Amino acid sequence: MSVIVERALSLLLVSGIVAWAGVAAACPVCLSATDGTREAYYGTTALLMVLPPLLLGSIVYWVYRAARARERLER
Amino acid sequence: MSEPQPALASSQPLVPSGILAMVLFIATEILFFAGLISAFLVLRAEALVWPPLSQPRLPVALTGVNTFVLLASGWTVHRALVSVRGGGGGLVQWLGATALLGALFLGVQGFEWVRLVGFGLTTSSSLYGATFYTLVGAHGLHVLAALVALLVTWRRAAAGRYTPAEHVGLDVCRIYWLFVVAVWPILYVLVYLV
Repeated sequence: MSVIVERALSLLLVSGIVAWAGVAAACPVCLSATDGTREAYYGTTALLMVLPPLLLGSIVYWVYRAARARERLER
Repeated sequence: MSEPQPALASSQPLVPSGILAMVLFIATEILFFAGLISAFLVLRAEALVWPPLSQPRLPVALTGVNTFVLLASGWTVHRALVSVRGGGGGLVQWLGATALLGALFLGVQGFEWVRLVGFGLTTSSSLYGATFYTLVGAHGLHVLAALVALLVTWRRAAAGRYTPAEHVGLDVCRIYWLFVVAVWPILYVLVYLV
């Protein structure tokens, strides 16, 4: 096989791959770089970070208060 | 010699197990809805126009009235607890009223959904539809589950299972019902009003 044929086949292969591939829209940073999206992302991340310790802390405090109330009753 | 003191029930748990379990369960439910709301807010912030121009508008007024129906059910379930604590009658009636209000809320929601699907708002029509049905649908399923629990509680109440001294089952059901009632105004404001 001559060099020219090899190069032509390679070019055909690459062209085929490029033509066959669809558009990839997989970059959320590029597509969603608005201020609103960034603020919503930061806000909801903060909310989801704060909620678990807040909920668990509230439950622990609630049980602690029940224990203190019983102690006072027993005294 | 001092008189013997009445024995304090130190062996009893600080908080009834059923109530503690329900409170922990509700903590997970709060995180579940927080996750859904977070996804909704981020997707919504990404949209240039919200709601999309081609999509039908949500029935704000009817759902607003329905919101008051659900809030009223929160009051009636609280009255059920007050009545059992007081030892008077009315427990079964208050629970029945709560179930009726909850069923009315679900019926109106279902009616709205049928109309919206007819107008072209489906889960696959747009992100608007997907987020709407996910958020409102998740809440609707919770109301349905709470309604089933309420009917079981109502049946037990009718059988005289709850007394002023022992009514943990009723309290557990009430806490769950109040949770689904409390979540709805937040969803209504976010999805329908803002």
